[in-house]
Amino acid sequence: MSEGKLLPFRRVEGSVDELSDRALVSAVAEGDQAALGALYDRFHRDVYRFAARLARAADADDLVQMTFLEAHRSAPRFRGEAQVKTWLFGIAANLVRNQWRGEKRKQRAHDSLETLPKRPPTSPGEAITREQQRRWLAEAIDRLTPALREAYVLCVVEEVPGKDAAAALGIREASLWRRLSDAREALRAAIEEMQR
Amino acid sequence: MTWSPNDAELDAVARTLDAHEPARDRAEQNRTALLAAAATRAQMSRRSRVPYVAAGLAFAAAAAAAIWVGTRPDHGAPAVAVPSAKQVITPIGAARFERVTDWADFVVRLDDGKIAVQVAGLDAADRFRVKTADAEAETRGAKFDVSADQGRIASLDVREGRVELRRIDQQVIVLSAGQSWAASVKTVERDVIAPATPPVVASNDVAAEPSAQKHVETRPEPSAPKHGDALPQPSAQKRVEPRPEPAQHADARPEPPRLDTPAPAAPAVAAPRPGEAEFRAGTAALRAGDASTAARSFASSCTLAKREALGDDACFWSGAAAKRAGDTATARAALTAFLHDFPTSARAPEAAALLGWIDYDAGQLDAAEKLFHQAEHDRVPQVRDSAQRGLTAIDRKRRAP
Repeated sequence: MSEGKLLPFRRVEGSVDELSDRALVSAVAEGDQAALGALYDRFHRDVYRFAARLARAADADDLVQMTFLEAHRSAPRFRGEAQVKTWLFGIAANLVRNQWRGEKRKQRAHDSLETLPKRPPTSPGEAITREQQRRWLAEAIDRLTPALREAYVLCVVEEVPGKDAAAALGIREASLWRRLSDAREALRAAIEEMQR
Repeated sequence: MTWSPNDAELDAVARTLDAHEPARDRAEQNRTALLAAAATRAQMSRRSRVPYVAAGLAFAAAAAAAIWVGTRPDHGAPAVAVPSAKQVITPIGAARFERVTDWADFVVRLDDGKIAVQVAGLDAADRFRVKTADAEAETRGAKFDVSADQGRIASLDVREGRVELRRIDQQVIVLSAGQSWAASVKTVERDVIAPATPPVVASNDVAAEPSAQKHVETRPEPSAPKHGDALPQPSAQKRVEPRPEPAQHADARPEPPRLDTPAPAAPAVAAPRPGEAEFRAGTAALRAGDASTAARSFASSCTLAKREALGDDACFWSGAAAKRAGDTATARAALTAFLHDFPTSARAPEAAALLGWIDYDAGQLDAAEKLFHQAEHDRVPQVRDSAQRGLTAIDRKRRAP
């Protein structure tokens, strides 16, 4: 079949599934619907997991959709300085920060208090299992302030490099390290409280 | 005994925290909504510029006209052409397509799913085509829906205008408003040896929506009932008789569409195939969110169509729908039977992964591991991912204290 001129962001051969992450974003910036679908296919699970850690799991689906819509809107401004996944995480974190705190956060904290045990199901002298440690830590992360939580989740849980994480969150790297340190202190304090 | 972790220990435990996984259905809904919203936004963006562009052009044209009229008093003012989108392409449900070339020869490649296309009347120098691996549809102005399965054209429904369909080694067909074309028996034979449609998957559940892997002419299209999709087409699909023209190979440079051809002959309708009605009922039920009813319908279809081209799809979906309905016992039995009856089906790895998760949830880690190994090298990335996640989960579960 004869082919006309090829657009600059497209490959001659292959589908969007074969494009690199950055090329996909470029294609999205050009208004390519298939590329947007491919970007979603490639990253929606990562964004969902990240969003579920920052907000309620029940809100994660909406956050994912809003994140990709915002990515679609701001794709022309993506400069490729960070990984695409980190860029998406940054968008999701901003959405959480701007739209999902307040009442929803309070409700989430309330839900957590209702559903999670206030005391660990252990007896004195009993060995603390890794499962218990995970449960305590999950609850402690849940109790962090949004700013500390997003820093800790992004850097530690998602293992995004500090420089990229700071850029994604729109803060200086020094601020990020300080938040990480504060987050760890707060986590330890919360875990100790849970064991009392 | 208390736990007082240092930074390293704290972070190490944090990295082992369980992650929430998106529900497959919801992820698919999200995807459809996202693409629809993005398409709407793009159209609104284009529309929002039109008044400014029009105003600018009108001003420029008025100025030019004033000069021109002044120098050529025997002619009226020239018309002002306001640029607008010549084409609007909207996915119906989940569709995989991409623009290959821009105007003046606009080509869209459609790999899977259905798209709605709207093309304004074109200038003489412009062309608009939708291509699949085996065909191309060209119009000079029409509204139509076109679908593809595994990169091959599956159907074409023209709502307005005319569309010329050229398939490799097939006669050219011209469809007018209200006429439809669906893949023929010949296509069925070809599709049998083609790989299955890659599933749209998320989380641990690898089953995609039912897809038309094999079509029989005038059969209803058991196409993927993704959220937001239209209901399945009725079985009385109009069949358009090809025009008495010589066969044209799609690789050859296509002739300009001849849209002045008389309307095709009256449609011909064939009897439904065994299990077809049940499969359609299953598809409709699944689309309506009633997985239990869907599972029963697919099971009936499986029984009736086991020896038919539809058989493996129906049998696979009887298990997948049952799993979706939470009926684990039925799902296990159906998927096990499917793997026994259709071991070479393209759906087999997907079924193995589904069954693997059922076994995993039941604590049968050895059985689950075997099944995940069957799927871990599947050609479909999502099936592979699901199997690999399963193997990782098993490993983690075995190592957990």
